[in-house]
Amino acid sequence: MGLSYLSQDDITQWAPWFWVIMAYKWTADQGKTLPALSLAWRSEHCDVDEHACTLLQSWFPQATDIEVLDATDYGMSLKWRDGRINAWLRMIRDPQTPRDTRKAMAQAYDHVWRRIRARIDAKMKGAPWLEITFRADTFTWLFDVANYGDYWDDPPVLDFVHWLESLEPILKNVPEVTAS
Amino acid sequence: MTLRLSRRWLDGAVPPISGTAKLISAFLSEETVEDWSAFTFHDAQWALEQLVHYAALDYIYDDLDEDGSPNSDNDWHHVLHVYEMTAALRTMPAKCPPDIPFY
Repeated sequence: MGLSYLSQDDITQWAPWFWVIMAYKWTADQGKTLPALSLAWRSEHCDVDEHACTLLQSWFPQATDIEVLDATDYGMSLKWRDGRINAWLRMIRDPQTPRDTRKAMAQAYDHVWRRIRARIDAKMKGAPWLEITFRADTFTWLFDVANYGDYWDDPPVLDFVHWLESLEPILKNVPEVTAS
Repeated sequence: MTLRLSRRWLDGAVPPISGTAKLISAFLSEETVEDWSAFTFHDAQWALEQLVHYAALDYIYDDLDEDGSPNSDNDWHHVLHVYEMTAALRTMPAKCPPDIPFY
């Protein structure tokens, strides 16, 4: 077998692939189900943002309207909605929901929201990592990392799954809501 | 440690291939990862460290001398052998030391 020399382009493409491998591996280690990951790096650019969408669905299957707003190898901006939380919120505001139920749900919501807020405040250090906007009865989750920090040691996609991992136990407290 | 390894070699036991080496081999062979238990998170970190961090990109163009022979002054030269070495790992595990010898 002869030598197979690598180009500089090959090598600069290695890092994003390995960031994705790390994010998948981390996610798999937390017991999440993942699709197979094709490592066809010679013929395909590594779309970190597309993999981030796949990872998001592994952590939060209920995430909908996932949208990539901006993406490079070194940063990305993802937006999504969480149908379960939105349904929960609609029920809290629905006058048809019994008053006591609404009150209990609102208290639970307040607890969840405070924990998320605390996570954001603790982790963000002033940087726009995760932003949650709330309009009408819809939350939009916006995760935004652009060249933040040292992406060699702390790649954005890995930050992303670490964030999802920290959000998961908080959002687990959101009860399943069915329209009645 | 060295003695123990030597005994293993003399006994003809197949030395273990590290998860890092297996992952690098899978990556360079463009395989599809389905079994996420085949390597650890640290293996993936270390593989990136081995492949990217250690090497200086500036040297890559100087790997061959004008006469086509390998440029022995090039720090990259050993790294560029990675593909051949990891391919060899797959076919001749008994000839590879436990840690992948990149340089």
